[in-house]
Amino acid sequence: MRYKIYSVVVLIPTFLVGQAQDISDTLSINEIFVSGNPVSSVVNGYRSTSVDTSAIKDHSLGDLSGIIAENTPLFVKNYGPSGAATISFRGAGASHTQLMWNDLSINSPMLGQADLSLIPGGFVDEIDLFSGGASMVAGSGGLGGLLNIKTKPYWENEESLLINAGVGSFGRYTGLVKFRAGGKKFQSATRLFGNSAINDFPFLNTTGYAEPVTEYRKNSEILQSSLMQEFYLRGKKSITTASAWYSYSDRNLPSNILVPQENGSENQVDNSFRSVISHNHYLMKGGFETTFAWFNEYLRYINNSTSMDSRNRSNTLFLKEVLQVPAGKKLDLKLMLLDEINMVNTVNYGGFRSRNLLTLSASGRRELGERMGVVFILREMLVDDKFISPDYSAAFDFELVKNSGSFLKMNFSRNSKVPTMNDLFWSPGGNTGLTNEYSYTGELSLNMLKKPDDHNEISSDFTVYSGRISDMIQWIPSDMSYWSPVNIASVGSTGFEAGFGYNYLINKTIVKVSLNYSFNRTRNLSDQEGKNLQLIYVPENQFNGSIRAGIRNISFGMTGSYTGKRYTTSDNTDYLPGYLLLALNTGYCIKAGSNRFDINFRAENLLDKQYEVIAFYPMPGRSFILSVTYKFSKR
Amino acid sequence: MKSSHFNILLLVVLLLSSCSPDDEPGNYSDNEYSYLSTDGVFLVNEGNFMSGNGSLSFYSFNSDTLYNDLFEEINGRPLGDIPNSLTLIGNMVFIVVNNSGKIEVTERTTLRSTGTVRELNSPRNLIAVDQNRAYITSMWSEKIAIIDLKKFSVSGFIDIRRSSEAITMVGNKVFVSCWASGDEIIVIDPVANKVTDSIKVGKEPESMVVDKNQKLWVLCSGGYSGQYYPELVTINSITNKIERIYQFPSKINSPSSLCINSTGDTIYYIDSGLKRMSIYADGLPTTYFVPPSGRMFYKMTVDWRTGWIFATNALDFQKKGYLLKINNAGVVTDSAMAGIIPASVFSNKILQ
Repeated sequence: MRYKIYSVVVLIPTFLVGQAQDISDTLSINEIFVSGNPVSSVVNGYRSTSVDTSAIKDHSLGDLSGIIAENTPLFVKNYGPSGAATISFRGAGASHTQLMWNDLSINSPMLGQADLSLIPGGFVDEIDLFSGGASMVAGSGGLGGLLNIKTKPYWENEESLLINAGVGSFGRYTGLVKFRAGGKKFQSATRLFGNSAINDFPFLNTTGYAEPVTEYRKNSEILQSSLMQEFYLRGKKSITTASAWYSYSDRNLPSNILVPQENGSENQVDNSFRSVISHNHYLMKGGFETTFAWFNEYLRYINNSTSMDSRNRSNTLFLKEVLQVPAGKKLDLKLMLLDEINMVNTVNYGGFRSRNLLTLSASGRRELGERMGVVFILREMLVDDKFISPDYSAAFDFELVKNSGSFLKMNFSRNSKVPTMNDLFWSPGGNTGLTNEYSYTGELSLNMLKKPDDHNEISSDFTVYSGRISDMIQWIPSDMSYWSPVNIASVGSTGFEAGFGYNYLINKTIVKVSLNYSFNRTRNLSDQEGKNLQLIYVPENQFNGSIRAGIRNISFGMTGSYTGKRYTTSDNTDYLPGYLLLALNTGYCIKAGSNRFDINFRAENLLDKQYEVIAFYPMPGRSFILSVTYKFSKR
Repeated sequence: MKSSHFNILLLVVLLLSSCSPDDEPGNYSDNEYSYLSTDGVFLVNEGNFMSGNGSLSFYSFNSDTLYNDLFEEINGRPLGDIPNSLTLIGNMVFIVVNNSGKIEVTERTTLRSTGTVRELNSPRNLIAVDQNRAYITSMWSEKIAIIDLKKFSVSGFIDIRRSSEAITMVGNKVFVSCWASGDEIIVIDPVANKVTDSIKVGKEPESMVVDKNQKLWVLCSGGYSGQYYPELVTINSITNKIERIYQFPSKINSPSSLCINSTGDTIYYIDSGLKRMSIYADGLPTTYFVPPSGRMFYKMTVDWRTGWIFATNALDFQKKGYLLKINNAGVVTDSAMAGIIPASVFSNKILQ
């Protein structure tokens, strides 16, 4: 293990040095370098990070799980190219991670989690990550953390059409179309995505036979399409937004390699339609926001070998009102009322079920002098007709040197999460007597920002944290011959995260370097034997690094991510080894008036590492994708 | 300097020794597993669904030791996803791996793999009907597969039009229980490979035994959703008629794992705790033979030779569970950590 970490540490600077020698000071800026700090702090008192937009761009033909796995120290639990992908913050489970789209949760009300593999990278403009207590800032239920994906308008008098088509290994064909029109008062943005892949990659099966045998993954085909339309209307003191997002996915689900499977015998269709209307009104100081949203999701799971045909439809309505008011010279107050109505119709509940979640929260920040501030958040939730214990958070921030952008931050939070609809109503086994899971977390963070001159920016951060999730819901065997969920478990999580970023900008040259490391111990505190062992599928060590640069019309990016060993048994006797993945992006750009052509080549898993994220679910070896982008823009 | 040379030498030795071929799976001497030739019980650990962590254990009476992970240790590969049962036929062991759709065949005294029967649909339990053929039940297909015991291959099917679970042979009849959503016992003529009769019993007949009077005892769990009362049914194996029905007092009961002692006059089953009952009893037992006491009893058997009762405690179905040895007074005399979800136990009757 030590050797591997050492290798990573040695390897990354080698890339950096190698690239630095190649870059002259006459580079042209490729369009991919638009914004973002590798390590940024956007919320006073809390640590949050944003994924660099160029990293998002690298995956515009991929999906959100790839962006997160490659560029953040979060663990992405991935069953393979056509399987589900979920994320884990600081050792917490997938259902303890809230995935938001423009500040509204898109976690399934049934499962309580979101499948990142269904979200096209090209449909995302910005990604903000809120770990631990910081998730309280953006929403509730993110006991591990919260990930907010955003789409943004560009208030320019410009019409643009972007067509991006790619062909890749293992029968992959993919395409993205973006069309933007409008001016400084009205914007229309249309995005269309399509993807199909056979995913018949080779892997070495060392488990099924007396000798290792090279096999090809079967039953892993996927067909995806997605359409998003957004309208933005800007008034003198307001912005009104209307968004609609339709997504369709039809995928065969490969089994683990110990289980024989006929092609097409296990299949899942996901259909979703999400629509949002939002109005923001800005006053001299403060403002208010009104949002109404309707999310409809349909999931059909078919397993021919067990004669299972599970059809599930959920509807969620959101009504959100946010009021931001200045209360004195040094105090800002924010009040939010959110009503979320979950309605589910499925054979698995024996019919229609619904619930109402009404959340009222108040938050504020009080400046203490010029360099300090305190933040508080109070939140109360009414679940149908039952109040639950209030959540709260308090934070403190101190700027080390005035106007330096370097902060010391600390916070303490109590957060809670309501049971999923499946936990409550699944038949048989659902338990309507479940109470909320809740967590206490505390963290201390130091963010440093240094700008020696106009061309260089160095940022770093270091965070230590500790937390505990209690009354965790776990499905256990009941007195009957089926399983039932109960509030039984408790886990403790401690660790630290470190990040380093370097941006270099001179004339038309940009170089970006990012390094992140996280160490996490997440223990099962409810183990009666008191061993407090690491939870399964929670890596203690994760590291990723990237360098992105451009030279004239050529762009270059290299990323490396290391995921440490993950135990696969709760007594920590069996584990999957760690793995290092390298990815390479290169591109060449041709401009001709209003027209622009980009040719991009991306290689993933450069070392052709044979690895599994989940035991017995092989992942692809080295793979490639070649894409061509045409962009027409007219001002 | 001397010290650093010594350290390097030590490192090299350690590296070399850690790479010794003897440590590779599959490299072993038969003496290492000599206990497999002694009296004991095999234990099949199911493992978690789709996790591929099922395993095989052996409890040796001589050494009072439970040896775990034997199949993988000896053959250098995992046993598969959800091993369900094990059958001893001659000097062979047939391990039925349910979710992997296969039967692993090994030598009895070495557990070395000698073959694999593949492409079975959700196989559950196997019984030899003569020296050349075995029947195997299936949860998700409506056919009993016929296994050629010489070629380790499927030689045919018997369409029973229902899923099947437990299987036993009395005289020249094979009785098959239709467990998943079923409520019948199917009777098969093993010579003609044909269904000859069906007997309607309670909901979800899960396990069966034959008593000393050649009567078939069938334990019906009542279904998973608690809609039916569980039943214990006795069937005359000659007339195929039901002779007696013992109804459990509550639909909440979920009895399982019926087994019988070597003299064929006392039956045992799991109903939260362990229950014991004479075959001549007028009613179901109202007290526990072994109370649950916080245990999650999952499967049990009676060793035909010693009369010891072996039961498994699956704990939370996530962690490694325990094999319990219980004496005739219902006292747990020994326990040992097994694999994940320790399940069915099978006596290793030494061939004379």
